[in-house]
Amino acid sequence: MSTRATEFLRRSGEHDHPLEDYVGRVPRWCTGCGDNAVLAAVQKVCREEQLPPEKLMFVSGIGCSSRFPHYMGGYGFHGLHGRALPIAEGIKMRRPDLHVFVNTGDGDCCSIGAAHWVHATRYNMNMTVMMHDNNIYGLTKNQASPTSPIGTRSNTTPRGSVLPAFDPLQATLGFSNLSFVAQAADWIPELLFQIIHEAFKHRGFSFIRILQRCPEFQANRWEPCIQDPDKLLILTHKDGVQVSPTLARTYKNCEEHDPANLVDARRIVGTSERIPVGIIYRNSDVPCYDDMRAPDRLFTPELVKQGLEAELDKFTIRPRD
Amino acid sequence: MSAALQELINFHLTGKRDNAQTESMAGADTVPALLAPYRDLLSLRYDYPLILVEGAETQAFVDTLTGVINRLLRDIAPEGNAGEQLRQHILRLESRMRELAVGNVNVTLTELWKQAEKSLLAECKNAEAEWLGNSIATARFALQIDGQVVDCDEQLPARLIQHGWNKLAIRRHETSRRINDLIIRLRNILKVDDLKNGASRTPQKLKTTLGKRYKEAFDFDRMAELLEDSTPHNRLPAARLERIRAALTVLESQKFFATEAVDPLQQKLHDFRFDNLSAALKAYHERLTEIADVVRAIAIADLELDNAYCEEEHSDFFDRFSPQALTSEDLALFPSYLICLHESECNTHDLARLMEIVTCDLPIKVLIHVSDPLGEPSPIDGRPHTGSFVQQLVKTFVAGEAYVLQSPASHLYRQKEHIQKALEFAGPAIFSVFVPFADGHQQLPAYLVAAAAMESRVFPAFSYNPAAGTGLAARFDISGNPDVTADWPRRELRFEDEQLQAVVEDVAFTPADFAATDLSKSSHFALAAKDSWEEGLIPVADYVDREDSNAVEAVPSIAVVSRENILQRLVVDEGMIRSVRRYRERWHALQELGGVHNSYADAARRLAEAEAQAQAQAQAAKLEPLPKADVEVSQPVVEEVVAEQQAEEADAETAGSAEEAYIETPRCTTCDECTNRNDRLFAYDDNKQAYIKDLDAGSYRDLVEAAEVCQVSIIHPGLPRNADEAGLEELIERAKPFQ
Repeated sequence: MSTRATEFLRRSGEHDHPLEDYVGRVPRWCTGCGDNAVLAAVQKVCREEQLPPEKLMFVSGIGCSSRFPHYMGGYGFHGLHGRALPIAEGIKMRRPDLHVFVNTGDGDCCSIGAAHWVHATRYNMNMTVMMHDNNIYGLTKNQASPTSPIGTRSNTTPRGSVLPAFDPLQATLGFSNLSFVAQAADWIPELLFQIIHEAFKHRGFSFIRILQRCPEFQANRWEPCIQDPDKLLILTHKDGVQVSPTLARTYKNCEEHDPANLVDARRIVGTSERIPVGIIYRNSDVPCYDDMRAPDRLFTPELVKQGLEAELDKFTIRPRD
Repeated sequence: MSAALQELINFHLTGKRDNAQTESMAGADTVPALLAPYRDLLSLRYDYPLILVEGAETQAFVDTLTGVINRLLRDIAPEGNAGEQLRQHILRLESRMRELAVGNVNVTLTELWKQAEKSLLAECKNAEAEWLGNSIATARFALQIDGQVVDCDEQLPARLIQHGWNKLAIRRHETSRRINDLIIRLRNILKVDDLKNGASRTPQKLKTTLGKRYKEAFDFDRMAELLEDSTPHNRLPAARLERIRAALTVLESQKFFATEAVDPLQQKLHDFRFDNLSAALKAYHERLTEIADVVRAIAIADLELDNAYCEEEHSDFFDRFSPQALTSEDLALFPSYLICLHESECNTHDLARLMEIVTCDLPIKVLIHVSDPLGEPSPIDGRPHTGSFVQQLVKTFVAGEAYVLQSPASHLYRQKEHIQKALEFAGPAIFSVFVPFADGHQQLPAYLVAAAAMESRVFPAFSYNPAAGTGLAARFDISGNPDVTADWPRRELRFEDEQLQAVVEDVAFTPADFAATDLSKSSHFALAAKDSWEEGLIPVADYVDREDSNAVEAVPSIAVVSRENILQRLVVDEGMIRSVRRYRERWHALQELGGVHNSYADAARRLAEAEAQAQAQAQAAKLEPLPKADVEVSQPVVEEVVAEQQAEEADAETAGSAEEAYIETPRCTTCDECTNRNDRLFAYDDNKQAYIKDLDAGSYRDLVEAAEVCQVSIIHPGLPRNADEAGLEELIERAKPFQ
């Protein structure tokens, strides 16, 4: 709530933010790394929404994906392995005015960070979470991750991994209080941008699994899908993504899917032979924990002291008169 | 014509009675027949008494005792026989509470409950007392609300509206909280800046800050030296510091809101409750400068806290900011004013002030307590006729954007949502409420008299909500009145004749019936002897509907019932009949505003129908049958063809000619492969997607190798431009898959 003068003056003082305002250091990812595409898409979303750089907060764990905050123009928190989400939740509770983005990887999110991921989804705090899924631990040079396909040869699985891959989408669709799930491919920048944009606009915990190329350790992983667009299934809807005529000429497999339909979402993710790309589930009515628990007043040291003293006074032993 | 009837006609025409045929109504202890069954209100469950609900947990500001008890019973009493005893006990308690509430002006629901419980238990013995006590205790445990109990009396309108105004002043809490936050945050800025001041880092100051417990553990001199080196010295500029201090001073010293950040003993807040319009308007105008100062301070604080204050752009604006710059959104942040008046305190000057409030959109809520809607005008002292208030209220619809609510007290609870909306409305609101004074003139409880005023159209209920949409259809509402489409509500009157046979009459309730509840109006009535009833008495409603109003074969009468439940008839004089006609015309005007029998709408509808018909006929005459198409093309097919065409055009733009190198820029994934290879040949556009910047900056080999490493195969090398480049044959072969 503000005065009319404040809003008018604030708008008159604003200036357009070009893409350069969202550019940080020069990325040190490998040439051809899909993280570059994600970086470009996020920067374009920030520009599209004209987000003040001082209100941006990128939180990451450990991994190639987690170098992301260094390359964005805004604030960043490069945290511990698997702990991006609780840090992001704390930031959001304390600073609800910030736009919080989380960059995590398949190992960071689905292995060491899995417990945080389950409950962060439940809490449904308003943030945009991008899981850069390259199916490998890349930063530490080639170890199998939970999403590595069965048979993946790596330093830790020299004879090929023996377990079937973990499916993040099927798992997420089973979490309670879920509000937004999507899957994107880094090599389709038009859809990548749309999906990240929709995820940002959604009020709640927006989880995007981004299929990401790793030219160094998983050079051929997504090659069949890139060369043969028919292997993908683009999910379109007026509440989802729309495919431009140019893109539709390349990606001909499109299916109308209402993101509000959870049953259909589970069907697509569980049984489709093609890889779905688009918004898989969306529910705007799920309440956000940060809204439910927002304090109704600013806490000052004096207030905290008063509260503590009131509580401790309850245990005061007084002499009988 | 008999002498008896002639006498009645003489009374009707002259208002003077002459002999026993026209006995006065005064002292007869009669009530209008339709109201007789409700004489004993205590035996009925109805909307009163009301509970003025306390506590911030609930949104509702008012409830009824009946509603509270019904909800209690629904929650705690099992269905069927198992819960019947509990239900009966609690209903007994409710009845006793209703009795005790009469005339009991300052009691809460809890206190009333206890009084009623004690009174009932005193009447019971042994086992019955135990059962009753258990039932009451069970219900008491489930009772979730409390508040002052008010009955339908002359204090009701002011108490109800003021309670609602206090409770629903939500905007006050929001602005108060906002100012509190701004004060804390501005103080924090000054605190941080102060810490950079050398004075805050002296050894003595550090010792004080750390507290007594650790004073022996530290070398504060050394600490001060260390901090001197490490503390940043970038203090706020003097101008900014001054600006923040000035804004903070204004916010701390404002008198509109209580804030936690300021010592309550230091705060002396403005009062917003007044007893007359002049004082309220004077206070409002006097405080406008203060309001402007607070709004300015809030705006400056907001900008400073966001680090968005720009001196070059903003200082001039704030220097010129004055009350003229205040908008309705700014004023909506501040509390509204409440004025409670009685109609006898209003003169024509007050009406003018009321119009000022309405036309200038001031945040002032005015309650006008009407106690005599049939009162006569007093041209000597300028007291307006109560009816003229209605006219003025109607005029405000046109003159301004005020929320207007008129209601008798009997209907007030049913209007609680309108009351709430009116109190929350940012602009002016006018409440006109009728409750009779207990001055001995009324023969019925105030609630029934108020209900009679609404039934008879003397004081109909209506509301005008300017925020409800555009046009009267959305804003104006008379639906709360009975039989909205009729001149008068009609009810069945059942009685026994002299032969003890049941008779049913369809009777209208008119202003004459309402006037019969007031002994001060008794001069307009005369009791008609029984033997004159058949000869020429007709109901008032039928009398005013006669086409020939000058015919004198019959006289108007109303049916009343005595204390002994004997039906009687009162003849009504011409003066009262004129009033009846006047109220009917006013009701018609309200109906028209409310969309009932709206003459404009009816005329427009007829005209539109006629025009539509004429147009249709003309069109039908002109039309010729179209030739049948050979192929039917559906809309989706058309759209697909258009989309395909657009895509081809887009491709053609991107592609250029087949010989020229190009990149499908929209599909670029920003992977740096090509730009790392040759950043003068390939570059990123504003969307960080690659395009060919300068074909002369690289070779055909660069193009082909870039095409080969491009992961999404969007680089198309075209044909070589330099025929002298080495290895062209091999390169052209390698380029073929990408053409």
